[in-house]
Amino acid sequence: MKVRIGFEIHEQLATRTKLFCTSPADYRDAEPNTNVCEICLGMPGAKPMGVNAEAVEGAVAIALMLNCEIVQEPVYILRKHYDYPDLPSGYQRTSMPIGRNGELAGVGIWEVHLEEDPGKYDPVTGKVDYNRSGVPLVEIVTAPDITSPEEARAFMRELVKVLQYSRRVRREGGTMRVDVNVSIEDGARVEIKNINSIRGLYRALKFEITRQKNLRRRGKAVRRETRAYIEEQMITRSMRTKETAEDYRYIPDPDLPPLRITPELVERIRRELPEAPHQKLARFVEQYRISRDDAWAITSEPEMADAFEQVCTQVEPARAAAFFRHIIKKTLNYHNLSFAESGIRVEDIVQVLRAISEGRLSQQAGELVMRRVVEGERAAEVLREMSRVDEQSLVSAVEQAIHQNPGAVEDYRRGKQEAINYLVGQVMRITKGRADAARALELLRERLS
Amino acid sequence: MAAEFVLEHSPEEHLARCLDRIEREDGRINAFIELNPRASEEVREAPHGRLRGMVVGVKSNINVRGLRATCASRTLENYVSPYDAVVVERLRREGAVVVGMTNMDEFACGSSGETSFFGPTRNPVAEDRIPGGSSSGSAAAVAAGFADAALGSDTGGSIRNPASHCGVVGVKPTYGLVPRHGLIDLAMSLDQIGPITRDVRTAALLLEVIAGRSREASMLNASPEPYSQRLTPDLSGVRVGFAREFEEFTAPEILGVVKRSLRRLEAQGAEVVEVELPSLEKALPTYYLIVFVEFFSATRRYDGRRYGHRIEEVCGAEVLRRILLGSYISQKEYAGRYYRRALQFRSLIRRELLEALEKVDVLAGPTTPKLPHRLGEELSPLEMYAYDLLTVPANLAGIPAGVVPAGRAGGIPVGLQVHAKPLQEQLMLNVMLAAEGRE
Amino acid sequence: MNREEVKEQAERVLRELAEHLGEIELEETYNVIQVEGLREDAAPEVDPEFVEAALSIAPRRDERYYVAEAGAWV
Repeated sequence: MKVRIGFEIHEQLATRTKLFCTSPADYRDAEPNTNVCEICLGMPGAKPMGVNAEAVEGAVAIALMLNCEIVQEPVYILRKHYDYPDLPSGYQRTSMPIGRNGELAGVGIWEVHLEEDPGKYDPVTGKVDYNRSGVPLVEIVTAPDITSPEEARAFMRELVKVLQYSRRVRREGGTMRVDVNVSIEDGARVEIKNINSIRGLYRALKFEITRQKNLRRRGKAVRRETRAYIEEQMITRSMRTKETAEDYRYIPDPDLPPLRITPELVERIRRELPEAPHQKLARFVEQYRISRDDAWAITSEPEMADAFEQVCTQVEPARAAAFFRHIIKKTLNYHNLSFAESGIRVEDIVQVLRAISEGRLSQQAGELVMRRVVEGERAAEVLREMSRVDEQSLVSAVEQAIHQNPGAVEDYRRGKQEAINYLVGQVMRITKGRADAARALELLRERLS
Repeated sequence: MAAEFVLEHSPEEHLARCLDRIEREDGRINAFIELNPRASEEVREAPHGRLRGMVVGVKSNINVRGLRATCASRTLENYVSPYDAVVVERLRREGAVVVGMTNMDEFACGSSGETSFFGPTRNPVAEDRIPGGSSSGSAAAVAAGFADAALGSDTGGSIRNPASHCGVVGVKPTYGLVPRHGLIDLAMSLDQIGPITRDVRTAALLLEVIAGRSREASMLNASPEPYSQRLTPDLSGVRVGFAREFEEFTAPEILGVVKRSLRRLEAQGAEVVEVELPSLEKALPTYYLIVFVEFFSATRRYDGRRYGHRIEEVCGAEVLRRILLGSYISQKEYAGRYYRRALQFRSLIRRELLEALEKVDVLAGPTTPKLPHRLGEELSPLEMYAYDLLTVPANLAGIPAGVVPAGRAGGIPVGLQVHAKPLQEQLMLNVMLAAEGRE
Repeated sequence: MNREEVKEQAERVLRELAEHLGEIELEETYNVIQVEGLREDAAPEVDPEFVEAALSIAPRRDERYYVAEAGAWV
């Protein structure tokens, strides 16, 4: 049975202020309802300020990276009316398409547009926090070109990567929301809301496709409806049983002039557009002479790709690539972190790679160092600590120093305290500097007393 | 030429006199919903600006921090505003003092001043008559001498209609010239804030203070001009258009006053020319269909969650009628038949007005087709809407229009309405100044 | 006047207005004057006095949260 899947993806744009006012767009550390003004609270009489230009440019950049045409005609901001406690004015502002007819990984991109985020409403307690209200979102609508949960997952990974590469979206994570449309064999289209991870997307689709197939097998029709994904139970549940679609009574917002996206602006953004993931991948293969698989792993995140290029100024690329793909990726997966979140610095990688190439560190030990870096330590400290000689070797180095320097031993025993410093120096020489000097001193004193 | 407000007494003394008059007479007139308890303090601390000591009434749909912006509705009876409208900030910066919040038709839905939850306002000049609306309290307060000036809002005549009925000056500026941030919506694409005063010079001064772009997504990039300094009654070479259709729709006693006023303009050097506005009669349905949809959208926030009452449960009949109609005609399946068609007619009316204003410098004519009715007389909705026939075109086209007292008919004031091209407020005020004359 | 009467009267009003309007084929006018409507993204601002005043008029709240119920207006 032919499955058709399409997405509406919402992600917050990384601007300083909200879409229509100067309240902060970053509300993560703010107390509830402090990140607000009369505009994003939708208070009586409040009018939107001009549209945040950075948000518009972000939407244009993302549309271009998704190979969209940028619309020439004026882009009206519409009011989409619906009633919910998180929507302080009773309507959400949403732009007409900014980009159209794009394509990513074989999936059609129908449109890219801007809209404002509503506040946060908890239906259980009834609490509403408007800190998020008015934060700019980019919405991407795909064609229903996807035919399985596996394809859906692969596409979403690619899309997330493109969004990250655009450097226009929030990198804190957890802000993406996806609505999914699923239909089987031209049956009714079911919309699933409330999905906020790729894993959730995959599970929701698995469940929903099975549900629809079972209905059909029993000869029952699939209803056109909106369902919610229930994360804890990995199921979808009917939200709205209304037969007719909700009427949002769209009107162009009379408070806002339409946006005019000039060809000059589009050209400027196009010129400054960051390299897309697939472009970077091709360049890495060509420039660093590394395998496609290595390049694919390294370019999975823009921050990791940047770090790789910096490492390559100091380390041979083939060795660096292998280290990134096998050691770093594995470490990140183990801790379930992105490179950007991991705290790994270029110098950490360079130091570990040098230690390995100089034979001071094994591959396995290198992985151990990276794990400790991710846990908050710096590679330099870890390496210093790891390279210290163990107690037994230290004891024998102390013995050797005493044995080889009878004069100094004699001086010390006669009360010449400085002589012991000379002996510590000898221990350091014997251990090639890898001894803990304090412990060597302690051992010498014990041994000579 | 004075560029600032001139007082006979000290600001404190002047405010006290206004408050005294309000106390004695407003029980009868009902121009104010709420007085500013801090007015006396504020007048002492007022900066020495161009409006120092000016006592101003503010329509109850404009936000003044700490006062209630009720829109004369139970819906917002508890809404104490937490912010100042841009125009209020600008008034304060120039030393004016807000004396109180004026009465109005509920949510500005009305042309008589009778639909207020806080009771109707009387016309101070003819107390058995309505003052007109919706800026009823603002016009009445100025006419009664309770304030030197008032702010009103004009969506389809709400400044000009009561100014005409109460014998005062009222200006609806070019759409977008005066920031609307802080003005509670009736219809966003039509609403404008403007001054109501006893003379043209004060209106010009007030307008130059409140005009000019702010940070809101203004539709206009205009800077304020020193209107009051450039005022002149000399109309040499000015062509004044009078539309033949005005005669068709206007009561004869009003036309008589208006025509005498046109003679006065000619005496100041103007040439009066006849023009045509063939679609004038389409203006009213066009206007109302747009208002219904925009008003429906604007009232969705009064859902009872943040301001206490759900609007549909507590509002009066006219407000409810407009919400129901707006909800109905903005539905997807009907939008083409009503809303979009109205927007198409808006294009036609706008084009016609701008074309007429290509042939002449200003258009002058009556403000309302009929004299104000007696307070309490029952009118059907369409009879009430008919008051707006001659005022809605300016809003649909976004052009400025002002009203200046032209004389009286049977003791009732009649205003001359002057329209100008977008941003030609100066010329419009000059024509109003030339027409200004007390009979 | 009760809600039913208002509704009936509203229907009459709409009928008459629509009849009066008649037919037309023209482009719609949404904005009477058009200008650039963009704003530069800059350092954000918050007015703590406003924040407290706005919260204080909420009819129902729980500490710093507004409290509301889901429902429908249409």
